[in-house]
Amino acid sequence: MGAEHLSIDIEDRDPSTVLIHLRGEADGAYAEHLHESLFPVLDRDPMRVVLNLADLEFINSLGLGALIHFHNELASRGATLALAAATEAVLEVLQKMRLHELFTMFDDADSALSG
Amino acid sequence: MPDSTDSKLVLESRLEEVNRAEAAVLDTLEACGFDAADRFAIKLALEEALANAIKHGNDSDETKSVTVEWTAAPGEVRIIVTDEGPGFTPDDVPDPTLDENLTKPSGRGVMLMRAYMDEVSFNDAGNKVTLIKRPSNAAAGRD
Repeated sequence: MGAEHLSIDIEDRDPSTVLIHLRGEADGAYAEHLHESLFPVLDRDPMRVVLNLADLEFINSLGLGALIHFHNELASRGATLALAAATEAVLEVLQKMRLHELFTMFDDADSALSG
Repeated sequence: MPDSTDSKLVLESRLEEVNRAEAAVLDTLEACGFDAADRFAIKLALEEALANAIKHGNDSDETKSVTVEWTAAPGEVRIIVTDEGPGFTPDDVPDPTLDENLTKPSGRGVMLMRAYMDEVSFNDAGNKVTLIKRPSNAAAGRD
Protein backbone atom coordinates (compact mmCIF):
# COMPACT_ATOMS: atom_id res chain seq x y z
CA MET A 1 0.00 0.00 0.00
CA GLY A 2 1.50 3.35 -0.99
CA ALA A 3 2.59 5.84 1.61
CA GLU A 4 1.38 8.88 -0.35
CA HIS A 5 -1.31 10.79 1.45
CA LEU A 6 -3.84 13.20 0.08
CA SER A 7 -3.31 16.05 -2.37
CA ILE A 8 -6.11 18.16 -3.79
CA ASP A 9 -5.99 20.27 -6.97
CA ILE A 10 -8.83 22.70 -7.61
CA GLU A 11 -9.48 24.19 -11.05
CA ASP A 12 -12.15 26.59 -12.27
CA ARG A 13 -13.27 25.12 -15.60
CA ASP A 14 -15.74 27.93 -16.25
CA PRO A 15 -17.58 30.47 -14.09
CA SER A 16 -20.00 27.84 -12.85
CA THR A 17 -17.95 24.62 -12.88
CA VAL A 18 -15.16 23.52 -10.56
CA LEU A 19 -13.02 20.43 -11.18
CA ILE A 20 -11.33 18.93 -8.13
CA HIS A 21 -8.66 16.25 -8.59
CA LEU A 22 -7.98 14.08 -5.56
CA ARG A 23 -4.71 12.15 -5.44
CA GLY A 24 -3.36 9.68 -2.94
CA GLU A 25 -5.16 8.26 0.07
CA ALA A 26 -7.91 9.87 2.14
CA ASP A 27 -6.91 7.91 5.24
CA GLY A 28 -6.34 8.58 8.90
CA ALA A 29 -6.35 12.26 9.77
CA TYR A 30 -6.04 13.21 6.09
CA ALA A 31 -9.68 12.35 5.55
CA GLU A 32 -10.65 15.23 7.83
CA HIS A 33 -8.34 17.51 5.86
CA LEU A 34 -10.44 16.64 2.83
CA HIS A 35 -13.37 18.34 4.51
CA GLU A 36 -11.30 21.47 5.17
CA SER A 37 -10.19 21.59 1.54
CA LEU A 38 -13.58 21.05 -0.10
CA PHE A 39 -15.70 23.56 1.77
CA PRO A 40 -13.87 26.72 0.66
CA VAL A 41 -14.91 25.78 -2.90
CA LEU A 42 -18.44 26.80 -1.94
CA ASP A 43 -17.28 30.41 -1.82
CA ARG A 44 -16.86 30.24 -5.61
CA ASP A 45 -20.64 29.67 -5.95
CA PRO A 46 -20.33 26.76 -8.38
CA MET A 47 -23.38 25.25 -10.02
CA ARG A 48 -21.47 22.08 -10.72
CA VAL A 49 -18.53 20.41 -9.02
CA VAL A 50 -16.75 17.40 -10.48
CA LEU A 51 -14.48 15.26 -8.31
CA ASN A 52 -11.90 13.37 -10.38
CA LEU A 53 -11.12 10.22 -8.38
CA ALA A 54 -8.86 8.53 -10.93
CA ASP A 55 -5.86 8.85 -8.61
CA LEU A 56 -7.61 8.38 -5.28
CA GLU A 57 -6.39 5.03 -3.98
CA PHE A 58 -8.18 4.85 -0.64
CA ILE A 59 -11.02 6.44 1.30
CA ASN A 60 -12.34 5.74 4.79
CA SER A 61 -15.68 6.61 6.38
CA LEU A 62 -14.39 10.04 7.47
CA GLY A 63 -13.56 10.78 3.85
CA LEU A 64 -16.96 9.51 2.77
CA GLY A 65 -18.51 11.79 5.37
CA ALA A 66 -16.65 14.76 3.94
CA LEU A 67 -17.98 13.97 0.45
CA ILE A 68 -21.52 13.52 1.73
CA HIS A 69 -21.44 16.75 3.73
CA PHE A 70 -20.10 18.59 0.68
CA HIS A 71 -22.81 17.02 -1.50
CA ASN A 72 -25.52 18.03 0.94
CA GLU A 73 -24.30 21.62 1.08
CA LEU A 74 -24.11 21.89 -2.72
CA ALA A 75 -27.58 20.40 -3.06
CA SER A 76 -28.98 22.95 -0.60
CA ARG A 77 -27.66 25.65 -2.95
CA GLY A 78 -29.13 24.02 -6.05
CA ALA A 79 -25.72 22.83 -7.25
CA THR A 80 -24.62 19.34 -8.28
CA LEU A 81 -21.71 17.10 -7.34
CA ALA A 82 -20.41 14.43 -9.72
CA LEU A 83 -17.81 11.77 -8.98
CA ALA A 84 -15.71 10.63 -11.90
CA ALA A 85 -13.29 7.79 -12.62
CA ALA A 86 -13.42 6.08 -9.24
CA THR A 87 -10.89 3.26 -8.96
CA GLU A 88 -12.20 -0.27 -8.55
CA ALA A 89 -11.42 -0.33 -4.84
CA VAL A 90 -12.93 3.07 -4.06
CA LEU A 91 -15.98 2.32 -6.22
CA GLU A 92 -16.51 -0.88 -4.24
CA VAL A 93 -16.54 1.10 -0.99
CA LEU A 94 -19.12 3.50 -2.44
CA GLN A 95 -21.24 0.62 -3.70
CA LYS A 96 -21.17 -1.28 -0.41
CA MET A 97 -22.51 1.87 1.27
CA ARG A 98 -25.02 2.54 -1.54
CA LEU A 99 -23.38 5.92 -2.06
CA HIS A 100 -23.14 5.31 -5.81
CA GLU A 101 -26.90 5.96 -5.65
CA LEU A 102 -26.48 9.26 -3.80
CA PHE A 103 -23.73 10.72 -5.96
CA THR A 104 -23.89 11.18 -9.72
CA MET A 105 -21.19 8.83 -11.05
CA PHE A 106 -19.25 9.04 -14.31
CA ASP A 107 -16.57 6.79 -15.78
CA ASP A 108 -14.28 9.71 -16.55
CA ALA A 109 -13.87 13.42 -15.86
CA ASP A 110 -14.61 14.53 -19.44
CA SER A 111 -18.01 12.83 -19.33
CA ALA A 112 -18.75 14.39 -15.97
CA LEU A 113 -17.82 17.85 -17.22
CA SER A 114 -19.95 17.59 -20.32
CA GLY A 115 -22.81 15.70 -18.69
CA MET B 1 2.87 -24.96 12.47
CA PRO B 2 2.89 -21.58 10.68
CA ASP B 3 4.97 -18.76 12.05
CA SER B 4 2.99 -15.96 13.65
CA THR B 5 3.80 -12.52 14.94
CA ASP B 6 2.22 -11.12 18.10
CA SER B 7 2.43 -7.37 18.30
CA LYS B 8 1.04 -4.50 20.33
CA LEU B 9 0.93 -0.73 20.08
CA VAL B 10 -0.50 1.85 22.45
CA LEU B 11 -1.80 4.97 20.71
CA GLU B 12 -2.78 8.41 21.86
CA SER B 13 -6.37 9.39 21.07
CA ARG B 14 -5.47 11.45 18.02
CA LEU B 15 -6.38 10.58 14.42
CA GLU B 16 -2.79 11.26 13.44
CA GLU B 17 -1.92 8.02 15.27
CA VAL B 18 -3.99 5.93 12.85
CA ASN B 19 -1.37 5.99 10.10
CA ARG B 20 1.35 4.87 12.52
CA ALA B 21 -0.71 1.89 13.63
CA GLU B 22 -1.72 0.78 10.18
CA ALA B 23 1.84 1.02 8.87
CA ALA B 24 2.95 -1.28 11.68
CA VAL B 25 0.16 -3.79 11.03
CA LEU B 26 0.51 -3.79 7.24
CA ASP B 27 4.28 -4.26 7.52
CA THR B 28 3.75 -7.59 9.28
CA LEU B 29 1.47 -8.88 6.52
CA GLU B 30 4.08 -9.03 3.80
CA ALA B 31 4.82 -12.73 4.25
CA CYS B 32 1.29 -13.83 5.13
CA GLY B 33 -0.24 -14.24 1.70
CA PHE B 34 -2.54 -11.23 1.57
CA ASP B 35 -2.91 -9.67 -1.85
CA ALA B 36 -3.46 -5.97 -2.58
CA ALA B 37 -7.24 -6.23 -2.24
CA ASP B 38 -6.89 -7.97 1.13
CA ARG B 39 -4.46 -5.32 2.37
CA PHE B 40 -6.92 -2.61 1.30
CA ALA B 41 -9.64 -4.38 3.25
CA ILE B 42 -7.49 -4.76 6.36
CA LYS B 43 -6.33 -1.14 6.18
CA LEU B 44 -9.94 0.08 5.88
CA ALA B 45 -11.35 -2.05 8.68
CA LEU B 46 -8.46 -1.14 10.97
CA GLU B 47 -8.92 2.56 10.23
CA GLU B 48 -12.61 2.32 11.04
CA ALA B 49 -11.93 0.51 14.31
CA LEU B 50 -9.28 3.04 15.32
CA ALA B 51 -11.33 6.08 14.33
CA ASN B 52 -14.27 4.76 16.34
CA ALA B 53 -12.06 4.06 19.34
CA ILE B 54 -10.44 7.50 19.20
CA LYS B 55 -13.42 9.70 18.34
CA HIS B 56 -16.31 7.85 19.95
CA GLY B 57 -14.80 5.48 22.51
CA ASN B 58 -12.28 7.89 24.00
CA ASP B 59 -14.06 11.07 22.83
CA SER B 60 -10.70 12.25 21.41
CA ASP B 61 -9.46 12.65 24.99
CA GLU B 62 -5.68 12.62 24.62
CA THR B 63 -5.31 11.46 28.21
CA LYS B 64 -6.88 8.17 27.12
CA SER B 65 -5.20 5.57 24.96
CA VAL B 66 -6.17 3.02 22.35
CA THR B 67 -4.45 -0.37 22.33
CA VAL B 68 -3.92 -2.28 19.10
CA GLU B 69 -2.86 -5.93 19.35
CA TRP B 70 -2.44 -8.17 16.37
CA THR B 71 -1.34 -11.61 15.35
CA ALA B 72 -0.31 -12.13 11.75
CA ALA B 73 0.29 -15.57 10.31
CA PRO B 74 -0.02 -17.15 6.90
CA GLY B 75 -3.72 -17.76 6.58
CA GLU B 76 -5.03 -15.24 9.09
CA VAL B 77 -4.54 -11.84 10.69
CA ARG B 78 -6.32 -11.10 13.96
CA ILE B 79 -6.50 -7.51 15.19
CA ILE B 80 -7.90 -6.34 18.51
CA VAL B 81 -8.61 -2.64 19.13
CA THR B 82 -9.47 -1.56 22.68
CA ASP B 83 -10.38 1.89 23.97
CA GLU B 84 -10.90 3.25 27.47
CA GLY B 85 -14.43 4.45 26.93
CA PRO B 86 -17.70 3.14 28.32
CA GLY B 87 -18.46 1.15 25.17
CA PHE B 88 -21.51 1.05 22.96
CA THR B 89 -24.04 -1.39 21.50
CA PRO B 90 -23.07 -2.11 17.89
CA ASP B 91 -26.53 -3.39 17.00
CA ASP B 92 -27.97 0.02 17.94
CA VAL B 93 -26.06 1.74 15.13
CA PRO B 94 -28.56 2.65 12.38
CA ASP B 95 -28.07 0.97 9.03
CA PRO B 96 -26.33 3.63 6.92
CA THR B 97 -27.54 2.05 3.68
CA LEU B 98 -31.20 2.77 4.39
CA ASP B 99 -32.66 5.52 2.21
CA GLU B 100 -33.21 7.84 5.15
CA ASN B 101 -29.57 7.52 6.25
CA LEU B 102 -27.72 7.91 2.95
CA THR B 103 -27.18 11.66 3.40
CA LYS B 104 -25.92 11.36 6.96
CA PRO B 105 -22.15 12.05 7.07
CA SER B 106 -21.40 9.52 9.80
CA GLY B 107 -22.35 6.05 10.99
CA ARG B 108 -20.57 3.81 8.46
CA GLY B 109 -17.64 2.50 10.46
CA VAL B 110 -19.19 -0.67 11.89
CA MET B 111 -20.77 -1.65 8.59
CA LEU B 112 -17.49 -1.14 6.75
CA MET B 113 -15.66 -3.35 9.24
CA ARG B 114 -18.25 -6.10 8.75
CA ALA B 115 -18.22 -5.71 4.97
CA TYR B 116 -14.46 -6.10 4.63
CA MET B 117 -13.48 -8.55 7.38
CA ASP B 118 -14.26 -12.26 7.60
CA GLU B 119 -15.19 -11.92 11.27
CA VAL B 120 -15.98 -8.93 13.49
CA SER B 121 -16.87 -9.29 17.15
CA PHE B 122 -17.25 -6.93 20.10
CA ASN B 123 -16.85 -7.60 23.80
CA ASP B 124 -19.94 -7.20 25.99
CA ALA B 125 -19.10 -3.61 26.89
CA GLY B 126 -18.48 -2.63 23.28
CA ASN B 127 -15.07 -1.06 23.87
CA LYS B 128 -13.06 -3.87 22.30
CA VAL B 129 -13.40 -5.11 18.73
CA THR B 130 -11.73 -8.15 17.17
CA LEU B 131 -11.18 -8.20 13.41
CA ILE B 132 -10.20 -11.37 11.55
CA LYS B 133 -9.21 -11.57 7.89
CA ARG B 134 -8.04 -14.57 5.89
CA PRO B 135 -6.40 -14.36 2.48
CA SER B 136 -8.90 -14.24 -0.35
CA ASN B 137 -6.61 -16.53 -2.31
CA ALA B 138 -6.96 -19.62 -0.12
CA ALA B 139 -3.93 -21.31 -1.65
CA ALA B 140 -1.70 -18.53 -0.38
CA GLY B 141 -2.46 -19.48 3.20
CA ARG B 142 -1.35 -23.08 2.93
CA ASP B 143 2.05 -24.28 4.15
